[in-house]
Amino acid sequence: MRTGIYSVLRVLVALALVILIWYATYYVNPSPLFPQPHNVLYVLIDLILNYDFLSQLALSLYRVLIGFSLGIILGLGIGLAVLLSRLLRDIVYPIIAFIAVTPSFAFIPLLMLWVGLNDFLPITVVTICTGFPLAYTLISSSKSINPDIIDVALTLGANRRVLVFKVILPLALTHIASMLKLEAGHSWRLVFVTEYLAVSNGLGYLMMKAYSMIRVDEIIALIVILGALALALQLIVEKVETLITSRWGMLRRDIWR
Amino acid sequence: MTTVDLVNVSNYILKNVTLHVPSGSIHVVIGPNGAGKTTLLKVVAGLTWYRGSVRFNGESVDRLPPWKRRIGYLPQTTALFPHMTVLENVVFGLRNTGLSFNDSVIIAKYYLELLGIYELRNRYPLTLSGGEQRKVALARALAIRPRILLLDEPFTGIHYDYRVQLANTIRKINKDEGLTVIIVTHDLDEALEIGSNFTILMNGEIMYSGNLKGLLKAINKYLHYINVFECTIKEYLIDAGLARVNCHGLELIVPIEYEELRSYNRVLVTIPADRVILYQTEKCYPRINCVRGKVTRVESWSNNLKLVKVVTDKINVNVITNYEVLTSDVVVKLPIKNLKVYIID
Repeated sequence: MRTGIYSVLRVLVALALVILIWYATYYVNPSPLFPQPHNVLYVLIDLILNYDFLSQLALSLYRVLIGFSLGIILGLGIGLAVLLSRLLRDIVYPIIAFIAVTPSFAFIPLLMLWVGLNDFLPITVVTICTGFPLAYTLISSSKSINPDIIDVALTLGANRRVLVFKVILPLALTHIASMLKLEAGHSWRLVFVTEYLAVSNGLGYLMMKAYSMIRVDEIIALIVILGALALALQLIVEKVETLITSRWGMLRRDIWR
Repeated sequence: MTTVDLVNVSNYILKNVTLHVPSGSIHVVIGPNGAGKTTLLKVVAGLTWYRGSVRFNGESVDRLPPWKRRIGYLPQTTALFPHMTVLENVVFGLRNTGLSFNDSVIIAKYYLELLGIYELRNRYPLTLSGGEQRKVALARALAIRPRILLLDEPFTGIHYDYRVQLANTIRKINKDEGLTVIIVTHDLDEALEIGSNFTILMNGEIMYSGNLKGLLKAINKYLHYINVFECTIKEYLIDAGLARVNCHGLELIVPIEYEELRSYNRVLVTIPADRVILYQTEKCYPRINCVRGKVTRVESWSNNLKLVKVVTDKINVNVITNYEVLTSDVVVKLPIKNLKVYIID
């Protein structure tokens, strides 16, 4: 309980510090391109109470969630298929590794032409950029499992299918979870950029509009909202991760002690 | 009841290994680190590649994958499945044989009770102590009723009580069911405690294979990190828990347990080479088990250590030390607490 109060206090102090510096900067160098904190706050409240804004936000959220979910399904599907088949591993693994390490924004122009400038574009981008790194993590984390565990499982009569589903996949979950945590934030980034560049709705589009009208207060408000949303998704994934790992006594703080 | 034969087995470390393990024996493979001991176990289990042939009861198993060889394998890291409870770990192998969950639990329960860890059944492995983990891993290996039990350094780094319990369970299963056991270890004391047959493996080659009697000579010849002396008991110092023994003319004081030893007079006395103390002066205090000798050779050992061979007029002693050896006239001391005594007959 004490630590709970303490951490809330810590956040408040940090926030107060930022606002203080912000005001100070404004009074040193007043400029129409540099709004004051309370102006941004008014715009923020305005936006949150605005139905049109909320529907745009819902649209972005929907794209992130659908793309992220499809990406998880795609990644697990490819990853498991590769783990189960030696042939696939030899042929497909290098391709997956290549796509996974390529900067994901590089796919956007290509997909703009292939998918078109519609609702599926951000979803496809997120799906691909979540799915392939996930498959890559699953496959490569199977290599970091203690080889003795695999050996023992084999002597205990496990065939490839049992090995993958009962040993490798559960043990890879911690790696997958920490990777998905990063990917959750990244999904927001991708949706935002795609909307900004190519789609005429969603938060990215609102940002584009705010920019073209030089509404700096609105831009900052949007940044705050975007950050909060990405943080929220990340926290949810993190919650799921601790739920899984604490069950096995694998909590990190146990290891550090 | 299974005999194990390795015929001309070679791979990245083993060189033409031919080994016969009689059915129902506890066979100990002794050797220094990197000798290929673990690889030998993996060859028997089918977990690594090899040329040559492995035979169970005379039948080649070279074409059988590990999951069809019915091997109980306990690696050095125990390798428990961290995402399964103790019970689930033991049940895992049983389920793979096609048993129903309920039947598997009944068998798992029997082996967990045998090792006295049934009350840990719902714990996860990472919450257990090292000794407890070793017990779970043994229960898991035994539950599938293997034809052969392979143990990789099973007693290393765990508490004495657990060592005794593990050794007793292994002996019991070996006696009751005639289970063939192969143990690899670098520790001679562990080997002598449990083994009935012995093999010395060095650099992937078998140097010796046979019973306890020939082992002594072989150890003196090959395993320089252990000293073994063949001694006869002269006198018991019962109240002190000690005995005066004669080793090739050299008098030593050794620790004994009176009840065990009173009817024997020939014993093996062992001491690891790194437990021998080397004095480069005339002083040796207290003057118990001190022997004067000459340094004949200094070889480098791992990690800046040196292996010093000392010859006295009665016995040869190997010493592992990190000090520079400056003089050839030295005194070696064999501390009583580091000496171990084993009955020969």
